[in-house]
Amino acid sequence: MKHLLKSYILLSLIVGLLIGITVKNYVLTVDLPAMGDMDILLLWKDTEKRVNELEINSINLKNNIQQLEAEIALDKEVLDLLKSRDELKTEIGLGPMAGPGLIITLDDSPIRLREGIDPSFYIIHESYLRYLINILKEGQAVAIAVNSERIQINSNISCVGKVILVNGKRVAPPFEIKAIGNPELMVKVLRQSSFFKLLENYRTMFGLQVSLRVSPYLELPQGTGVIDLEFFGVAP
Amino acid sequence: MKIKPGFLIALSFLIVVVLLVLQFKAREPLLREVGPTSSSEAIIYLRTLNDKKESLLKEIEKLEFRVLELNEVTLEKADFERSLNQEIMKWEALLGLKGMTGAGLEVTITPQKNQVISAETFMDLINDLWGGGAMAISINKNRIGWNSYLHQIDNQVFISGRLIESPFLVEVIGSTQVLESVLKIPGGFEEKMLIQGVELKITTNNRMIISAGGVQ
Repeated sequence: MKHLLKSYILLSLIVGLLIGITVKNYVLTVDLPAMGDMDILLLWKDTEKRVNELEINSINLKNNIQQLEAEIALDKEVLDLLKSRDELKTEIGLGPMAGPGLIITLDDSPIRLREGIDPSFYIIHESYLRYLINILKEGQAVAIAVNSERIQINSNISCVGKVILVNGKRVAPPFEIKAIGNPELMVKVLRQSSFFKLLENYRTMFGLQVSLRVSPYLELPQGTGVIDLEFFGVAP
Repeated sequence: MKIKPGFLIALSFLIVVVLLVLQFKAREPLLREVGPTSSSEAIIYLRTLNDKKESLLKEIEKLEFRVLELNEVTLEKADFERSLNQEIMKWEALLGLKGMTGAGLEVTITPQKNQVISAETFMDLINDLWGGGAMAISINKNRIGWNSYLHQIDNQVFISGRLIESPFLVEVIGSTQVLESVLKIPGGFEEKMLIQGVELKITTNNRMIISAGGVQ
């Protein structure tokens, strides 16, 4: 009888633990209509496609508005205001920009993992992108994009598992960081930075692919991140 | 009717097997196309995508309204100029050229004596806050603009060349609820600081003002 009681206690513990984990998984997926992996994947693909369509729709509407405003604004005062506004938006990252700059290309190591070495040394982490962008800003970059995702004032670079997200959109290696600005100054600041030196060491030691090249002309797209101007006020 | 103990044990084992199957099914990796990502990570990404979809839909609604307005040419020149000026002020506030008002958080970071908060930690914090929908951020009254950068020399951290010293006051305007949850997420900034023994105080302020400039 005692033995049976012990078995029940053990079983209850296991069942309780499993129910707990299942409930946790359920809570995670409760606001999604599907539970299976295939369903999640399909929903993921659909949502990504829909977000891309909405972004194109949003860009088209913005261009349409710009055109209509230009048609209405026939006098110089209004045209000047429109120009100032568009310059500010470009600075924030919401307008396209072109000019000379540089391209940093990063990719995971093609070398097979060596035993006993932390595998994270062989891959590009999202923090690497953040730190390089910070250095490029120090080098007075005026516009930056990662794999055609423009870095806006409020851009966020995060990582969900092995997926890197820029402005909430998935970007995959090889990563191309394009920066418009004075190429010589940006290269100088990069070469002087301890982080870039560390990346170059990783290239030698673990085979991380890191390259830097200057470009006489780069075109960066406008940002697609949404900024809600009604959320805040302007201080007097 | 008396239930035999053997039947109860068999039933319990059946439940355990069912739950185990459910567990393994939930933990299966997604297809090769999306990489070695677990279901829960895929769900987190889906949520991010859904948030982006919602904000894009809202933005498109506003843009369509604006197109309608412009198509009807109901805007008088004076109105048009006024609305443009207001919009310009908002963009300037966002860039840090003008001060910003709104609800937000005040985060005070007090490291222990001789403890260093690295430039990378501040970069990660700023990144988290933008991800939480921040509209303006300042650290020790240094406004973070598009081109602000951080660097560290020995134990000293600089924002665009200006030294910042402990205690660090991070002010941020945005949704207090979202920002607070971003900081308090398991494994997030608060947890990292507490593990290091850094004192962290987060308070909400519904009438916050973050001044212009500082760093541009």
